[in-house]
Amino acid sequence: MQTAARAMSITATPAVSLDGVGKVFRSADGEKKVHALDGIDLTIAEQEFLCLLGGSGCGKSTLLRMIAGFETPTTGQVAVRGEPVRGPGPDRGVVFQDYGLFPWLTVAENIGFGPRRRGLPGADVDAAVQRFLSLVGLERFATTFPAQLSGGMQQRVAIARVLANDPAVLLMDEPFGALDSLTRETMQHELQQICDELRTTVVFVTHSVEEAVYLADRVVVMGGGPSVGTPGHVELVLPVALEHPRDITSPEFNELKRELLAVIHGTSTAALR
Amino acid sequence: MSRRIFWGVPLPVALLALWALAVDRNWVRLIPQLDEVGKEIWDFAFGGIHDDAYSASLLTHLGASASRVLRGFAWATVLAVPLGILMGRNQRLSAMTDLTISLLRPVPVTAWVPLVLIVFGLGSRSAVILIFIAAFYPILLNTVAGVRAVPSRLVEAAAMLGTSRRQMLVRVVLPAALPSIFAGMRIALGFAWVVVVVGETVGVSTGLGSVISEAREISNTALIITGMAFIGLAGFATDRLLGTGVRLATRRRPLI
Ligand SMILES: Nc1ncnc2c1ncn2[C@@H]1O[C@H](COP(=O)(O)OP(=O)(O)O)[C@@H](O)[C@H]1O
Ligand SMILES: [Mg+2]
Repeated sequence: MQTAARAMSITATPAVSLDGVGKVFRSADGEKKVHALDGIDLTIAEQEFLCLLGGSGCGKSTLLRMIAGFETPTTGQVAVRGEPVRGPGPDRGVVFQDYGLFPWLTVAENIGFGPRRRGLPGADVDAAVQRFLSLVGLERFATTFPAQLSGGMQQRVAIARVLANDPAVLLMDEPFGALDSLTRETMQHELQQICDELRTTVVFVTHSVEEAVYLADRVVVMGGGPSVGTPGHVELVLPVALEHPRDITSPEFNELKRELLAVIHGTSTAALR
Repeated sequence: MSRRIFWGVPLPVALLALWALAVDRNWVRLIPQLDEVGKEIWDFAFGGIHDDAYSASLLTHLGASASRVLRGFAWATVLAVPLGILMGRNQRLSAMTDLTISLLRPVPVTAWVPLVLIVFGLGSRSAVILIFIAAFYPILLNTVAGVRAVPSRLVEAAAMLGTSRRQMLVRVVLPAALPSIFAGMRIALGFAWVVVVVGETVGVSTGLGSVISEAREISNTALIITGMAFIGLAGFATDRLLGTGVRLATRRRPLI
């Protein structure tokens, strides 16, 4: 049902649009060029959950970092809600694999960091902190420091911290990659519930086919990469129209998994030849 | 903690015993016996034994030295920390200042003494300036190193949360670099006590350094050792005070 509602609500201005985006890095020693990405065209609708799926080195992180404004595209345009991206900003919340929490701030202070920097009045900051603390179920840990929390709890804080800024899009780079598999499944489920509730737009990077099929409204399979000799590019876009929460043992789920795996392994074997 | 103190006691006791033995057996000459130094220390602190110019003068001299140390150290901190933060973050500023600092830093403080005395005259001010020179570089270099080592992830996190450039320095770079800055301040404070003795050797009549150099002129080894003992204690005490101050200032927050 949720997916259908999302599909209906697609509006004229996409949340994120990438138009002929390419990225060339210069290697550390200077002259050698690394063609990380080329010709990426992609639009991400408001309230869409999009997964970027692909092996390592195909440019998923680079693409996400260009939307975040940490990197500038060598060619093409990146726009968020119609505005060209110029540097990082609070309309694009980033969740890193290594959390990136401020160790000297408590959980509550980490969550309040964004609202405070944006100059919200103290009462509004406190309200936002309370709301997102309880959304991720960490009320009891408001005055705890990040180092005292488990990885899964730290990642909950990181998610609450960006949501407190009410971003146009949530950018997540393998956010559960460092967690054990049980915690990862819990986090996937909770993230899905949160995004359904808040109707957040998400771009989620993963190299796990199962994670992509579990979370995404649409899976973008990426291939290539400097290590295989071609710049990273979009291989396939596959919508996933299964109800939430998804049953990872269902035939439909596994059919999608099979389809994606075939594409991914097809591209890697083609590259090997 | 008490275990640590327990294990720390035997070595100094053994060294004192060796001293007493060495003097007793005439292995060394001109070194006073322990009880003589003990009396001198007592007289210097409380008076009532020798009744000379140094009796009960500890507070005067210790106060004079400590005030010079703290003034020179405070000026060094106030100037070196902000400069270090800007240099650590700004490639151009760093390129503009690196050469100058690399050329000035190797000049030992002792080499500065004659020039400082001629320009600023004999007196307290010269001592403070010498202490400032000695304390400045360790704080500056540690601040720059600390700022350059701030994890780029934290800077990215703050940037995507909407942090302005200036707030970045105060809210992220400074707290992340604090351990390194404090390490520099600690080294600098140690240097400051070294240099106060040099600075007080000439031209001032108060301070533990001047006590030591006057004692040398009248060949009073017990008084020299007394001065040394109190400089050691004062350096130890200010180091502990700095540590406590840091803990209070950071309100016991975990740093990086
Ligand atoms: N700052 C950089 N300088 C040079 N090369 C880079 C830089 N960042 C990424 N690359 C290269 O770009 C390619 C894509 O990297 P990345 O986006 O991290 O891939 P993924 O996240 O899909 O594993 C890799 O070959 C990587 O080595
Ligand atoms: Mg990556």
